[in-house]
Amino acid sequence: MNKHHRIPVSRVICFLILVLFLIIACAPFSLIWSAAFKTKAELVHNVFGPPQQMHWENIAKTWEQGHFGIYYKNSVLVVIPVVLFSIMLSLTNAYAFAYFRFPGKTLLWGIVLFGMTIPMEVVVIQLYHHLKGMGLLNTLPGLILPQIAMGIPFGTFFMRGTLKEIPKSLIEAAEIDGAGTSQVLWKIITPMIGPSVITLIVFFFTWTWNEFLLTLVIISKEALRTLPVGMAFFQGKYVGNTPLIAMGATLMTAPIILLYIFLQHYVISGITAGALKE
Amino acid sequence: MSEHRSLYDSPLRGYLYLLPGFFIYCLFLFIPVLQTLQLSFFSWNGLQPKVCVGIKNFLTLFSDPIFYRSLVNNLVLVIFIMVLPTLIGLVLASIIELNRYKIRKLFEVVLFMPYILSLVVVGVIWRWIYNPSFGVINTFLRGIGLSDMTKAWLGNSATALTAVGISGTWVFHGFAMVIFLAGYSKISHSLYEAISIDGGNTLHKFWYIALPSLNHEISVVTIFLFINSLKTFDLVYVMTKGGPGYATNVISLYVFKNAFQYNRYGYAAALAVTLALIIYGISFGMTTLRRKHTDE
Repeated sequence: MNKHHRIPVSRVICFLILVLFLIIACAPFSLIWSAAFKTKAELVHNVFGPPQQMHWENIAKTWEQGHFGIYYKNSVLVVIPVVLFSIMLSLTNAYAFAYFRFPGKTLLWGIVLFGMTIPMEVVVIQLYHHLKGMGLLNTLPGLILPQIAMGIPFGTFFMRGTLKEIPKSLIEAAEIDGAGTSQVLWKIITPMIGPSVITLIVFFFTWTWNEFLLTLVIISKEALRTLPVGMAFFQGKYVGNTPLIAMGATLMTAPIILLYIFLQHYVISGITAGALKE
Repeated sequence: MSEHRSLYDSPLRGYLYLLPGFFIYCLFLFIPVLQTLQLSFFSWNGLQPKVCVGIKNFLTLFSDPIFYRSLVNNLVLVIFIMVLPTLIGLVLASIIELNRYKIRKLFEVVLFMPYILSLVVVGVIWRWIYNPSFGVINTFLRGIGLSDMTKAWLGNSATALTAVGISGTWVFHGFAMVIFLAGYSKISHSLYEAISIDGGNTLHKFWYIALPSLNHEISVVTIFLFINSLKTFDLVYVMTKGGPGYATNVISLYVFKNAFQYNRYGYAAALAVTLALIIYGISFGMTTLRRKHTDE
């Protein structure tokens, strides 16, 4: 009897702790989303409530005055090639490391793994001069190529793990049937690794969409800024106009949140797989 | 069968698949890193020729009070970005797992959400929360009649670093929780039942079964978050730019300022190399310590 009562009480307390953290995780989001649709005047006396009237014109104001149209275009122009090429090149790299036998494999694998541990802070100084020498400062390729390079180490590591799980007999059978190595890769392996590819797409998309330091260093022209750097400068310029800043944050975050809501399974399983495999 | 010569034995084909990815990786990441290492032994303002100065940059660094201040700030951030998220994540994961709530998935998905945000956006959001005149915290304090407690949270050197740190805790606690939940899912339930039969309660289950089983996850989370707390750049850049004074200056920001504002590229490189060495040294130490601990 006693025991019967005790269990629900601790369960309820634990549940309340979880709900508290749920609110802590959500509150900044809901505050910023509601602030995005208020006027400056309303926000001063109504920080916590929902907007009395939805000021949709804030979207257009931020988009045009805040130049978010330009930042969006640049972010999309960077993120698409980075995701595409990072995945392609990670896959061919992983293919070589997973199946082929060649001299120097251990050394090359070590060099790739080392790339996963390099902090951006260490690369960016020389990268700046390097890109300057190649005439790539203040250009989109100057943003795209280094980010492909940054994706390759993790992508290779992750894809190699996936390829290793494909039964060897399958590859051998295809080879005996006369398939070449590239046919094996594109006709047999690629159709089998959909989920891993989706996980990588989500990771590369998020990293590239959020990349700040590299863009801050490589790009000084406003016309080439991506969303994070545009947002940082926009904040400096519109200090005090919280609704517009909040709308900027909302616009910038929307694609990432949508991607996450639809594909959260891949994000979480990818994160845990990456952490637990090692 | 054994006579069959596999195409996968041809090194040339292997190299061919490796070539494009490896080339881009080396050109834009690996070589610049080696060059940064080299640059750390030079004095260079970006215009005049580089002058080799040996280890002078590193010696300067050891007598640079701003470097020490930044290092201490980074260590304070370790508390907020590594220690607190790990503890909170462990508690939340344990609560979810040991109570077996039906809506576990909801907690997992929502609490993880701050982690996917750009740190720039996190900085922007929290700057507003901390704003002295129209910020969320001060508005709330005034609303409940505690006007005396309102502060310029980010403009005050006594509170600025803690304020930045708390936003970091907000970002990373869900990440830690998700990894711990994954670790929990590998623990066999018969172990818990055994404890229950012996009359143990939930705390016993946590202490004698969960905690030892989560050993690997704990080290993964702590190392990952440790590295993140040392690399903090975006948050500080957006929230305080290192100020007021040097109250929130961190090493990565100091690297950035030296290279791209003061044009002291050699010194910036030496700082960056030192940062990397600290990261590698401590991560390596933590991994070895754990290995030794688990082997015993």
